[in-house]
Amino acid sequence: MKQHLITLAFFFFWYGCQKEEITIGLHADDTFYLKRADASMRVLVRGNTASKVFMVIVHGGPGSSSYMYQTPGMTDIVEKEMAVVYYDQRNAGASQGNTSAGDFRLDEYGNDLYAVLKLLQHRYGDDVKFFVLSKSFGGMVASSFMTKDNNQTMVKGWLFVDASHNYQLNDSLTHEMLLRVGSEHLANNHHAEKWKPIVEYCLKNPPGPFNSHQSLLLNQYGWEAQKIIEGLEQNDNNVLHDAIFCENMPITSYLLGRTNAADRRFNHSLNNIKFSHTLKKVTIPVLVCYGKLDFVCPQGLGDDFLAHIGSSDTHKIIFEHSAHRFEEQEAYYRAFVQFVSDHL
Amino acid sequence: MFIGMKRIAFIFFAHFWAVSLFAQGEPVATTMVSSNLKIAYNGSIVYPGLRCGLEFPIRQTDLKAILKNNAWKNVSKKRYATLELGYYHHPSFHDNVFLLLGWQTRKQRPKGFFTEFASALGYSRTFLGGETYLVDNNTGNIGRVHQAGYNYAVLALGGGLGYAFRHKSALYLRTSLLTMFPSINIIYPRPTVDLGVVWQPKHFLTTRLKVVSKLKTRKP
Repeated sequence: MKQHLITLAFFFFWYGCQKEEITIGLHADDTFYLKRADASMRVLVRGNTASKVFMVIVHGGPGSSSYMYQTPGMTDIVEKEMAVVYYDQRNAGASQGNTSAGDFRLDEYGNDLYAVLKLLQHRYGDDVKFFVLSKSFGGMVASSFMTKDNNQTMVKGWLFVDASHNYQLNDSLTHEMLLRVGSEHLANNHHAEKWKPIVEYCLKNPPGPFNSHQSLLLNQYGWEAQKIIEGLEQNDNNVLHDAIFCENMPITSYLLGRTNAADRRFNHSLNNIKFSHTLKKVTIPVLVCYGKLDFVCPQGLGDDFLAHIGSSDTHKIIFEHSAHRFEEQEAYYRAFVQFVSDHL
Repeated sequence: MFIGMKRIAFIFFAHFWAVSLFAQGEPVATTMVSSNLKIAYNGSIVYPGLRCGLEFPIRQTDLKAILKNNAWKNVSKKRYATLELGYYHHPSFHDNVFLLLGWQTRKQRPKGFFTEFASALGYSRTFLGGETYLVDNNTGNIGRVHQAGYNYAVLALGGGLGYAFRHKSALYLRTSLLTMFPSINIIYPRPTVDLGVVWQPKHFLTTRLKVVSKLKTRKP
């Protein structure tokens, strides 16, 4: 019996020893974890690491996951040209740990991004070139990172995609767009029954500083509006469904990351954070992309971002048939690749 | 209304009094029996694992009841204290080893089919599904963390069904929910499915089993 127990203990010890996998090649598929304090964040590096160009995705949420960005288009178009880094922020996706709610602060998320870049240099060499792609809430994280100390010097370019850097402005723009587009639809009697509650809510809650409850409701109405708006390109990717098995997605962890109480408290803390006036510190090249039909992060955020950023090398693309989910997949991905190749 | 309440209260009182009197007549015996060994494929839905353990018999209640059609119904309710060691492997997420101490009830029909319910408390140790690095932003130091993972308390609840064979062995299927805490998400729930066998070897960790026989008859 004792021998069996020793064998069993040895097996678990052996299995627990993870090998270090560092792939320099065209089809890398490396998984590792970044540990900071009591949070461990999963990092996936996929694609062409031999290019020494790494595009780091800072996902939305808070509490979403980098799983959402692993689409066939990203693999076929972007990963061929560069390595794509999918990292799950703390309290999101496959991240794990015992972190207390007090550690959910935006500056900690920014510090995590700094640590991810340092770790990538440690693994793949100091000569790797970084581009940061921030999406939605990821815009807040990337803004926190870029405006701190000399962090931006680590990065060759910033892709600011359907992103937010100012939640109050975000809410005002969402409110304005919902009211304007909703009123037009009501006047033309297009999906009137679905637009009516949205417009009524906007009329009852006039523009002004929105509290976090109003902010969440506006966000929800923004998503509702995108379900009924005409002119969107069809995006058939169901990443969540596809990732459950082929990507070994920890589904309960992902769903709890989106809904838990600590996350909601963190969401409330974001309401008054705005980076509009600190963006002038940022001088690296930027690409700003927005979907014209994006109600969640309307394109006015991009205008404000460009009006305040210190960089002189700026590019802006509006995707006519997209909202908040990279609906025009190929066009988005080709724009990313073009921007990166122009700024190496 | 009030009279109706009094009547109901009297019926309940009379029933429990009668039952308690009847219980005094229940034959109770103790016997020495072997403990059970169990081993199962423990899949966390699709992620493979293994679960093995011991079931220590504590009490057995043999219930004989007469049905409306005058047929006899025999049910054996068994209670066990359990000790289980489990493991599952979720690629790129984590490996989880857990030790559970629990309580299990098993209700067995004469033909061998049984249902069971189990609850347990325990300890879980996860091992992250990839090389782990500790990064110190202030110093820039980066170090590898060996055996990186987390310790959790576990509460497990599960239920299932099975079939007991004559030769002191049984096959069972059980679904459980492992709830680990405290986690980054406050709790981390993890559903699992066990498909396994239970075996009672001779003279193995013999324990004293209390056997109670109950007879339930219809009211005249």
